[in-house]
Amino acid sequence: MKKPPKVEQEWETWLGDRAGGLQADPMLRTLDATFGAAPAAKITQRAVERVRERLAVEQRPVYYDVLPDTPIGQVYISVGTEGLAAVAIGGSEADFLAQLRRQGVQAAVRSGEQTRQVRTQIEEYFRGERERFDCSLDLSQLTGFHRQVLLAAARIPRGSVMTYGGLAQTLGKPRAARAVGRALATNPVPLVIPCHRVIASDGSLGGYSARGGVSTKLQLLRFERAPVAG
Amino acid sequence: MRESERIDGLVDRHGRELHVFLWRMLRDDQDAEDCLQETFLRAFRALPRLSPEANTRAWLYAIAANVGRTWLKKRRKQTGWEQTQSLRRARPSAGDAPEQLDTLSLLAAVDRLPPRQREALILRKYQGLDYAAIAAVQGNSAAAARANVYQALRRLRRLLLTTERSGRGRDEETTEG
Repeated sequence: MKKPPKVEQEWETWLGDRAGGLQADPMLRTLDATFGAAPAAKITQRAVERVRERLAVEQRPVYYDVLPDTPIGQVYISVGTEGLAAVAIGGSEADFLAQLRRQGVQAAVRSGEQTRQVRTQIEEYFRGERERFDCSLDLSQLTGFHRQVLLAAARIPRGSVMTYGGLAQTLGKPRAARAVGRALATNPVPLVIPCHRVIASDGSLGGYSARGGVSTKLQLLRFERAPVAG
Repeated sequence: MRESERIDGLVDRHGRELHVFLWRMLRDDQDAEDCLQETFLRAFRALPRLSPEANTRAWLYAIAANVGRTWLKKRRKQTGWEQTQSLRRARPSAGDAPEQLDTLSLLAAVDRLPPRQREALILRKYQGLDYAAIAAVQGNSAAAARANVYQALRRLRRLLLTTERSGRGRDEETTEG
């Protein structure tokens, strides 16, 4: 191997790649003066502390529970720090826990106590005693348009329906009927945000992505005495 | 061990050195703090996929380096950040010893290094990683990691010689080594 030029031999010493004495190269001295310095200890300490706080938030448990016996079967709910985060219709507890894990939930704890407010409201809804849900929602994972669509759907009153195009129109985007449909198809909190109240413009039901599909949708609309055929 | 305990252990063992690394890469307190959080969040989410035999320190450095690289790229897009902010924030000119170069020219030259060369140099010289560890961070071989370090120095030297020639006689003379 050919010997490196003198200046590079000095670099080797400087980098600790070979033994040797002091260096005189001003570039290396300036590098040391500029990059050798570490941030003040308190800056590092604060940054590490922030990491611990952020991780603690990340690891806060999500509480969940199941309503075993509603007219549309089992309904699972999960509540995070911000509010109701997920509703699932049908399936098993294991399915629901798998869904939560896919959504990035690290720890899910079953708790009737922590989920009581939402559970009670859903029970009231199925007894026909509740017109609208009144609980905080955790929609933090959703993008702007997705969230807008869901919040608009949340305002459709019990007993009425709206078309995908009509909902798009209320958002000032009359041509976005398909995008509205896609946003509703990934509603994290069906039932509570009543995406079942949005139907196709020809009067057919469109789709429903919760378990049971369109027949669950129809069941809910009939239960609410909405003006639908079928 | 539960994942929350594992991540806490990693923050205890490596949080400080990773912060210093990111600070050296980004040269900004807030940016380093933000990137450190992002690094550990990503690490926490990826933890279940980490093999028990993996070199955890290199793995964390790799995540931090990725986060830092993306951050630098984003910051460069903001017009002229590197030329104005980075240089303005580091203004030790009055204290420059005569046997040193002008710190601002050096910073400008370092900012022009390809990110991986800048990274390799900082990892080797200031974070004390050996070439095998740098290779694990950068996903290349120890020889390639070593080459990155020396290329960084060659390039810096070239850039600084150019600055020096064009700047000679303007203010102070740069002392030859």
